[in-house]
Amino acid sequence: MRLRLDITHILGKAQQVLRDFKGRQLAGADNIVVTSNESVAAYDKTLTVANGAAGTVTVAFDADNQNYSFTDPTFTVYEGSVAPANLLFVLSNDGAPTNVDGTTGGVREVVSSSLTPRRTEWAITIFNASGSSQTYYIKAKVRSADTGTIS
Amino acid sequence: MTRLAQLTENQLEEVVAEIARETEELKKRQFTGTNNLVIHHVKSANTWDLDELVLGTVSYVQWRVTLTPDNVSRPFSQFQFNFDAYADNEFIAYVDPLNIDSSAVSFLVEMNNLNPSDANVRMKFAFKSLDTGSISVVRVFEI
Repeated sequence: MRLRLDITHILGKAQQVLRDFKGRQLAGADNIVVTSNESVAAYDKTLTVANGAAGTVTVAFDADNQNYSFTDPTFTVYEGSVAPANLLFVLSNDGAPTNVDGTTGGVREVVSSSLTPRRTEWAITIFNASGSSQTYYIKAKVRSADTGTIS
Repeated sequence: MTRLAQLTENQLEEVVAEIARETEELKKRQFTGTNNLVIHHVKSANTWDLDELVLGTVSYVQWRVTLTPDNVSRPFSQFQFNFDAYADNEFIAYVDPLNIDSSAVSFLVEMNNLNPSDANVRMKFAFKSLDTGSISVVRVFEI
């Protein structure tokens, strides 16, 4: 009788564990780790654009482990030199162009058919309406589920 | 297994307890890491997914690009595109707000046409997605 009671108790626990297991969310908010990746340099790319013209530069993120890693980039754009007073705008991958006094900037993630699966590339386009030729300094930060390198 | 547990009348209890232990260990596994989240790169074999004439008199065109997933509704997806067009044309893309409740994933691509001449606009699309699927494109409107 005692053995039967113990078995019933253990089976009941096992059943509860299995029930919990079946209802468990496998990929929850607390078990996907997102890292913020950036280089140690003050800026990652420069782009010189004549007044009234558009220029495009490409920034890449190489993930350490994951193919086609989801990414959330931000690009801080300075005009003339890297200094807080020269911050022009911050671009993100939300598709919206940013406009400051007629100078506009936008980002698109490029189709990477010729790239390795771990590389993501963005084309950053700036249309210069400042009245004179400008050099833009671009600093990238990439949030991703994987660590990686910006170039 | 202890010697006491090897007694015939105790074996059943021990086996069931082992099952419970192993199931508990299985339950505590980490399922999602940086290198076991499978993401698919969905794209067609075509060089361009869109090749359409845009008249020089048209100033603005909008296309809807849809990923129809193979297995799940609204898989988390990121959109990519390339274009071959008049250099000064401006492109932006964003999630289609009118189609957000669909089981598919849709983005709108807009082009401000600065080309005064009639020209073909060619575009290539791709998605990074949690599911596989197929891509389709329709011109929504132009002005």
